[in-house]
Amino acid sequence: MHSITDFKSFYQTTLQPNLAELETSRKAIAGKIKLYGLIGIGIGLAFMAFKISAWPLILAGVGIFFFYQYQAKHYRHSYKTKIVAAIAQAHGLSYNHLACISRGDYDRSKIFTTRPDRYWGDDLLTGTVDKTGIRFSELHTQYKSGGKNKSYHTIFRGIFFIADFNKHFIGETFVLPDVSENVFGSTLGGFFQKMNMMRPQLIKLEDVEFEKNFAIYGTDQVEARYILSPALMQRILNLKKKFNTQVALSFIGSHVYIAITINKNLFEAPWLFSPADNYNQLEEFHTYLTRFVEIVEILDLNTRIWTKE
Amino acid sequence: MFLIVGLIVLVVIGAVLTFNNLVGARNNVENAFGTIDVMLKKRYDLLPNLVEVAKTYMKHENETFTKLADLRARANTATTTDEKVAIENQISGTVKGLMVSVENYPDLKASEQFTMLQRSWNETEEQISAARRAYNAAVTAYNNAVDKFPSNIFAGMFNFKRKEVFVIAETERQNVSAKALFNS
Repeated sequence: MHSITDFKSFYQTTLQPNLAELETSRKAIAGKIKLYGLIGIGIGLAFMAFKISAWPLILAGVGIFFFYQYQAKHYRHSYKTKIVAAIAQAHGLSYNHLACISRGDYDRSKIFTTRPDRYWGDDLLTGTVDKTGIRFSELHTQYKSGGKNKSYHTIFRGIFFIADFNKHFIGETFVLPDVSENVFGSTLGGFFQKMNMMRPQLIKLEDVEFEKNFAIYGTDQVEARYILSPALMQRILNLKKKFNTQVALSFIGSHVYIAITINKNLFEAPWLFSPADNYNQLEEFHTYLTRFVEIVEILDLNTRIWTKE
Repeated sequence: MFLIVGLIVLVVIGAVLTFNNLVGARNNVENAFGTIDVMLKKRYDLLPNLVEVAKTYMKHENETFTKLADLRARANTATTTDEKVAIENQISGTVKGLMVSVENYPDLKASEQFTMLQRSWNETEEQISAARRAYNAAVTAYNNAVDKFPSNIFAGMFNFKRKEVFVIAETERQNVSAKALFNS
């Protein structure tokens, strides 16, 4: 299911019946919340009007708030398990909205050198595209700044994607957004790249456009070039263009790890007081899923002409 | 007085760093060249195995097999780099041709052993190409050091000469298509 037309017919045949069911229960819940709210606040106001006590109003407010939270959580749960899971399944993926890429995987990728103090994620999707196993989820990691005003700063927010890589290798190779060369220009920026103590050797590749977009580090000059063939460099550039955002990759332990920055909470249910059936939003989920699955194709991970099957 | 001494110390430190950088770049080139040799050795070791398995199925390619055996023997005795490169390119080209004619031998194509060897061959080919690219990168860094100020002063004084990068042979530039090899 790649095209929008396919998705439209899928929407009509599979999603709409489920959505209709969901909509009925949503309306019932929303109605309940409104009704209890009105009664609670009415009684509370009456107590206020007769100057008996302000407490009933406060209690009613708190009670309604928790009731709403509880119901909204249930609604989100059924939306995700019924609707998002169905779309994922149509893409050949299995979906678990409560899980995410593990901290172990995140750490193993070594894409980010800052240790996160907060690690949050959801919407784990797993599957196999032809011969290539993939898994990805939303992640949001933050670190705490020291000093007096302690506050949290984002390290990464977006989709963290892991796939089997089609070649054998033993070292570690990193393809990172080129921050210093963009800020300081090629000479001074190149110097800063070289001086980066957190990373292995700097690797200068011959593709000028690729070098402009990324800084490449690796434990082995030859192996890095074995992985980053001229064709793969072009493919990574295509990937970056497609997502039009910051993309960082690492090649470690027979996997490729890809961190795609997306400043948006994906695969979420609409607000409880708006209709469950929001076609544009569903189409957006579909488009994102298509793009993530397409990564395998864009990076040509199913070509297995090397010793790795 | 102190100023002059300080200045001299700075110049000396700068000179030492520049010179060491030049030597480092040259050693990197030698190291990268060694890596190509290692990868080529890997391919030499693979070649007899590949030929052995292919021979049992391919009855009409004896000429090619003789040519490969001959090339391999010549590669072992080659002395100059140019000669070596020329032979390597011929080996690559011949095996590529052989891989294409595998299409005519369905039994061979189905042989698991041969498929594995074919995959290993692709791998070493790609590794050799990676090693060459690494060599070219090292040579470029070295040439930059030889040409750029101030290290060009030392390069002139200590006879550091520009080195040539690898040029890929015309026959090798044509990409191997995986489809042609496997027809999958």
